[in-house]
Amino acid sequence: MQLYQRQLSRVLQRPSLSAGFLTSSRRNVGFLKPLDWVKERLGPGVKELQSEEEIQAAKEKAKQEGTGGLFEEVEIVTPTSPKPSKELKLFGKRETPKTKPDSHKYSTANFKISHRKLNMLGRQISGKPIDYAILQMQFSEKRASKRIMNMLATARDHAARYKRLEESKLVVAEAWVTKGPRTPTRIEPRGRGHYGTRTHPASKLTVVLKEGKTLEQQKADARKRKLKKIVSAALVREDRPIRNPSPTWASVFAASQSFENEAIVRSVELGGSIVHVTTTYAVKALDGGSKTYTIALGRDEREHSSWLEAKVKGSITPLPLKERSSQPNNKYTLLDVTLPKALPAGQTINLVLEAIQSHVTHPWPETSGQNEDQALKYTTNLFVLSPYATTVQRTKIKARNPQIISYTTPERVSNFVTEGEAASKSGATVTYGPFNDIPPSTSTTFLGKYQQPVTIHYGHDQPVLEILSLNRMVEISHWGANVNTQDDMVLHNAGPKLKGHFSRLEHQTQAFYKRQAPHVLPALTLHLPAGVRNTYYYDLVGNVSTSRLRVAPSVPKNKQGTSFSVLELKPRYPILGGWNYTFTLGWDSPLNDMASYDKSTGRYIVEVPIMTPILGAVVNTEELKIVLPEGATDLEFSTPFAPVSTSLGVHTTYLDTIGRPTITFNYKDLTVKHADNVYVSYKLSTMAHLQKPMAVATAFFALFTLGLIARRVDLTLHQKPKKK
Amino acid sequence: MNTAYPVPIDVPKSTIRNTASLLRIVALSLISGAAIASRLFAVINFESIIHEFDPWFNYRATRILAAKGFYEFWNWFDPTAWYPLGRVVGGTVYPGLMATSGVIYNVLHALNMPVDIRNICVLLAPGFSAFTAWATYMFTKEMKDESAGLLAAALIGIAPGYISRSVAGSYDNEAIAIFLLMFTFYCWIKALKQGSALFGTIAAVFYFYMVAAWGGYVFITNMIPLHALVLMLMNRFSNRLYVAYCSWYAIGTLASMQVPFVGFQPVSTSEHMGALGVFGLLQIIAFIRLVRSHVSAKQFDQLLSGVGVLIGILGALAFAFLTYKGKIAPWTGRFYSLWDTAYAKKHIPIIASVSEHQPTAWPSFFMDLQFLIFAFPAGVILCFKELRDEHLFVIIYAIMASYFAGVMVRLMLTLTPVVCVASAVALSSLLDTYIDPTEPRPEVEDRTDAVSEAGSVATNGSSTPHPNGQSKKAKKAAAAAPQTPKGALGDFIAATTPTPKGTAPRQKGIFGIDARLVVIINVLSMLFFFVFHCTWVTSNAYSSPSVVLASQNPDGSQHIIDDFREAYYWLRMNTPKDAVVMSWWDYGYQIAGMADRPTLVDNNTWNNTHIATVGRAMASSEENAYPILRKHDVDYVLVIFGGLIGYSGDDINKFLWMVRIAQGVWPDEIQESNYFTPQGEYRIDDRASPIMKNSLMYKMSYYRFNELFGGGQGQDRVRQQPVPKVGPTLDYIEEAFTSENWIVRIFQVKKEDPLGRDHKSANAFAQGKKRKHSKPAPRRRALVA
Repeated sequence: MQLYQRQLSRVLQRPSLSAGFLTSSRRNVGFLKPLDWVKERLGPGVKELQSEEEIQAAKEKAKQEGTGGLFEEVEIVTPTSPKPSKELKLFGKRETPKTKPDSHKYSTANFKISHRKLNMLGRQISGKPIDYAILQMQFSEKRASKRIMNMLATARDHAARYKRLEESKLVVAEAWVTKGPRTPTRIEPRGRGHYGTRTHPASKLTVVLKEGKTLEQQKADARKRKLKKIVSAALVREDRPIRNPSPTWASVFAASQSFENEAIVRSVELGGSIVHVTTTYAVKALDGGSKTYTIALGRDEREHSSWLEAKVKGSITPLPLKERSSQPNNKYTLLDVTLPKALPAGQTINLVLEAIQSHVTHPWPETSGQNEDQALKYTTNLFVLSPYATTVQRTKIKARNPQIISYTTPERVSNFVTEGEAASKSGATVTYGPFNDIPPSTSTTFLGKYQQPVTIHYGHDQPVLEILSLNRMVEISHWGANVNTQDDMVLHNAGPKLKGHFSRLEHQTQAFYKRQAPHVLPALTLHLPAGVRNTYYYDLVGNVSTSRLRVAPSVPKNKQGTSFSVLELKPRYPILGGWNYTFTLGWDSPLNDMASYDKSTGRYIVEVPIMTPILGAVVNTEELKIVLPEGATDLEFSTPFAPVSTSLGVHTTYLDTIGRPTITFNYKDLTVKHADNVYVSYKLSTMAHLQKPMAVATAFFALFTLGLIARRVDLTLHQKPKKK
Repeated sequence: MNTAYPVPIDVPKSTIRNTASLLRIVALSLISGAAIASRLFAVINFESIIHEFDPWFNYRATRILAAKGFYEFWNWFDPTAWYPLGRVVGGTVYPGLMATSGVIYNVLHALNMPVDIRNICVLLAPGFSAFTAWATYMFTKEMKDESAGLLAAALIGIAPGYISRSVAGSYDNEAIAIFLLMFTFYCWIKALKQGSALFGTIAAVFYFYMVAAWGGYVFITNMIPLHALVLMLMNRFSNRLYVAYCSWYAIGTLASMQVPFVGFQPVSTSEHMGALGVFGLLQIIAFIRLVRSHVSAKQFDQLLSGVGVLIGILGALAFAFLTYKGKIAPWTGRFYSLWDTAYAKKHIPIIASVSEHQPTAWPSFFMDLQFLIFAFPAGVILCFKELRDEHLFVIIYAIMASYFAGVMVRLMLTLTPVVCVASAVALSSLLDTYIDPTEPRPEVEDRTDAVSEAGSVATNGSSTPHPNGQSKKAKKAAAAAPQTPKGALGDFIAATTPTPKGTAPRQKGIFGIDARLVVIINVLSMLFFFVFHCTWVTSNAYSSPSVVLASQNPDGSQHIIDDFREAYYWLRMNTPKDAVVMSWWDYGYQIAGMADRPTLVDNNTWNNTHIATVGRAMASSEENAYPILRKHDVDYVLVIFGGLIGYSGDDINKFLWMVRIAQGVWPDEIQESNYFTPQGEYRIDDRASPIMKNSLMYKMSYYRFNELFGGGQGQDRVRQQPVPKVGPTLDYIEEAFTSENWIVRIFQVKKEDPLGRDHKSANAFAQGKKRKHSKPAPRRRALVA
């Protein structure tokens, strides 16, 4: 009874609390929100009573009218002193809200094993994430491991099902072993009448699973700890914001604000040894006045792009591109494009960046039989990087024929994909994207978190050609009105290496049925200049008799006409995957076709092609040596793109006295796009023209003079008397 | 005076001499031009390429010489030849050819003429043929006169016998050797005529050059002593002979010993002993003559019978003793084969297997020399008429060279110069006689003696047969007689500028111009036909590089078959640098030169056993050949197979020589008879003997050949035999490359099976064949006593 009263009294205590709350809450209107104050003052409707006195008065009034609330009518008994918490605890078990369990304990039954042996497993798994612990047990060689593994798996399921612990976070927080019940010992007979005792121990393993740190988290923590230790300035600290950034960085931040990309579309045309990448940026200026747009390229991409050109879409003049110097361990490089004119805010422009990549594909499988197909792998990065935010971005990768064997499906891109698949294939095209709302992607976090390589494995039906080295010597002769060009090439089939051996029978069968294997190169077609003469084609063992040449007549300068002769060049043997072939190809062409004379300055200007384009082939290194006529002075030259190195020298050949000046250019990774001209201009005096005939005349004159003298010299010691 | 046709009378003597001299120079340069031009067929029809086999080695050595200098070349040890033995090249070559090219190369480069070394090598032989023409001119001039010399120069310039060895690209020792041979002979004749130590020394220097250039120098080494000996036997010893021979022999022998390959041979081998003996004999005779001039005739006779015989016997005894003790090497096998044509076939199959060592078929005499072959004896007989010392030389040379040319095809080369010289003498005499405008005066009968006295050479008059003066021969001789010293031009001069001595009119001769024209036109037309013949032979027979073959397209244009270079270049580009290639020795030099890979054997056939090893590997079955291949580190085996396009010089046709050579060393393993059918036929079709069918060579040649015919009956176009329906299979080697027309087939030797099986069972396993279970091996049991 007493107990009941006490309980009641506790219940009755409550209204006082609620009343107290009510009184303390005051609506603070008017000070910050004048509109509300006006509404309250002037507006119709029930006016809320505000102050303590008003409320008290209202309550009094209601009491008299008998319209008060239930709680108002009950006598409030204020306890003198609150009861100690002991009593509360007694009943509190039920009262307190049920807390979520934070651990799950589970154990095996006692089974026949030594506690010492079992303890090893306990020590092995304690502290490990549960999946990792299970993995450990799966591959452990201990007898008990399988049982422990099963127990762990059960414990994990129970923890998740019954205790609602998050399964991915579970770790084996504790693991211990207890001995089981003693079983009777047995006698073990020993030699010499001795005996020992045999025990049959039993024990069990108990684990406590708790939510803890997963393996990734542990690694991240470890990394954090390590990073904290770094104090040197040499490394880029990624754990702290960069203070006081250098101008390079400052411009990144500054540039970040001036543009945004409405769309980026990258289309990749897969080839054999070269890959053509066209990236279109739909750029919108955020604030006006900026003339420099920055393009970011992945480091690998930059290294393999031997040719880069930025243009405004629809125009043909390339925009100036300037590469920023970057740290060697940076994952990307930045290129500044100078726009034709500053963009006003809100205006858009379409920029096209064309890049030719070389050495980016590799054959897979790496070897292929004579009758088998050829497949290549191409790897690129999923996202086009940009220091600006991008609204939508898409990458299309096209192969030559619809024979795409596999392609990577990107991961961790769900943030950017709104609908459809992140990667899809139709015909010969693989499309990645569209990806929406990409933040400025040159940040370390973006690169680390989202940027990822994607690989396309595709069939290719053309041989993959590489010209390992090309030495071109161009000799200009004014006496012969002739320009001699000679190329020494090392040709290599960079496709899959030939598996097994070459069988002529199979090759001839293929040729007969016109089913040439795609990686076999039987012949090459080259476009030589029009009007070539004396074409020669030989290798180290002599003339190669299998070539055929169709010469187009020479076309006068600035006239229309067929601009090339066709050389069908057949190597001595068909070039299969991994095979090499070296040869020399040379020809003479009229000087008039390539040179002009500027009367006002007295200079000759000669255009010299850097290379003869071979479709689909890449020239790894080239040395272009231009031999000018003897006595040429005031050399000047201009190149369409910068050579790796340039040097001057002297070349001495037929009938030379002082030698001919030469200019040597070295190039790397040339493609069809590089087939441009170098312009060389020089002065050649009349005396220099006459040098050769004079040298020859002098030599002959000296020879005859010597002959004259020699005939008249008599060296006989003793003159024989002439017989009469 | 009477002339058959009008001759300008009042031309000054000096004008005639100068004009003649100019004409000679012009003629010689034209002859040089013709000699060079006629050798360029190979370059024009094909390209500037080194021909055949040996030239490829010479070319390779020359490249080393040009690139690294003479010292390096001298010490060059070639580890890639005769793998794994290697070859000391500097000490086993005649370096003259390479040194000549090297000098030309360096001179041209010093003059800023960057001519490719290959072009120098290719054009060396034509260039030297011009020199040969000049040397022959000089030599013949000594025999008769300048006009005969010019004729001889023209003949040697285009004679196919010489062209066959000196077309452009035939970069062989003979290219320069014939020039050296002729020039040495010229210097010797000159030295002998004048008794000049200077010319003797020059002869010695050129002899040294010859020794450095060609193994055929032995011909000179024996020709000159023989000449000297004959002169002595004919009692024509003179101080001139003594001076010429001693200066030539002493300097020449010492100089020739400087060539490492020759070394001490001039004093230790039998081939050179003749020269030494003649040298000794000369000393004895000279000594005797010296003694005779000092003592009376009676004492001299006693002395001669005593001392002379004693010295002779002692010398012979010493020679026999040294030979017996082995100080003097006996005759080599090659030399024996000169005397006994069957010797090589019996004892040295390698020498016999070379086609150019076969006895000459007589049509090839006509092919190489055409009408010279019957003008030649006439010339030799004309030499007998005068029989001066130098004529004796020509006679001896003619006899010796004719014999050797009959023994070996290759020695046709040494015959050609003397044929040209002798024919030129004969033709020139004929033309001299019939062009001479002087008309005889038949009515004056008693002038005969005056004519014979007018001859400047005493011997000539006596040899003229007076009684038979009416015969044509006699007429010719009589007409030729007065001209001999000066030739036709001298006679012309004599005719135009009358002097009391030379105007003696003859009573015998040719009357009128028509009689002259008949003979002249005949001779000229023969010469013309000779030119056509030479051009035809050169362009058709001797201008094929044999590295490159040619055939015709259906439209008549030339189609080049370039399989050799295709395969060699493939080897060069796509195999490891140290991959050892095994092939029959014919292709050794070409592989070294073009493919730049080590070879087991090559054309320098110095090690018979090694060659026999290759022959044995080719001739034995795969299982037996495999250990041989592996022991020699062979990576690739190369065979030549002509069965597809009918190239008859292929390895199956040479196969019997491989068998024979291998049999010479391993008579137990290889027997020639096993490779014939029971009927004794050499066949490759179904009826071929099983050993033949299992031989490595057969298997490699016909591997997958029948598949080419797509199920039809395959035909070997060389043997004209059908190939078996089921082709051979290979277990221990695999096909690596086959050239476009299947001429060259390259096979790779498999490495040992990684699981230690033999390749036959490994292959069978890979093909899914069940292994035949033979009876299980009996268990080892302990012997119970």
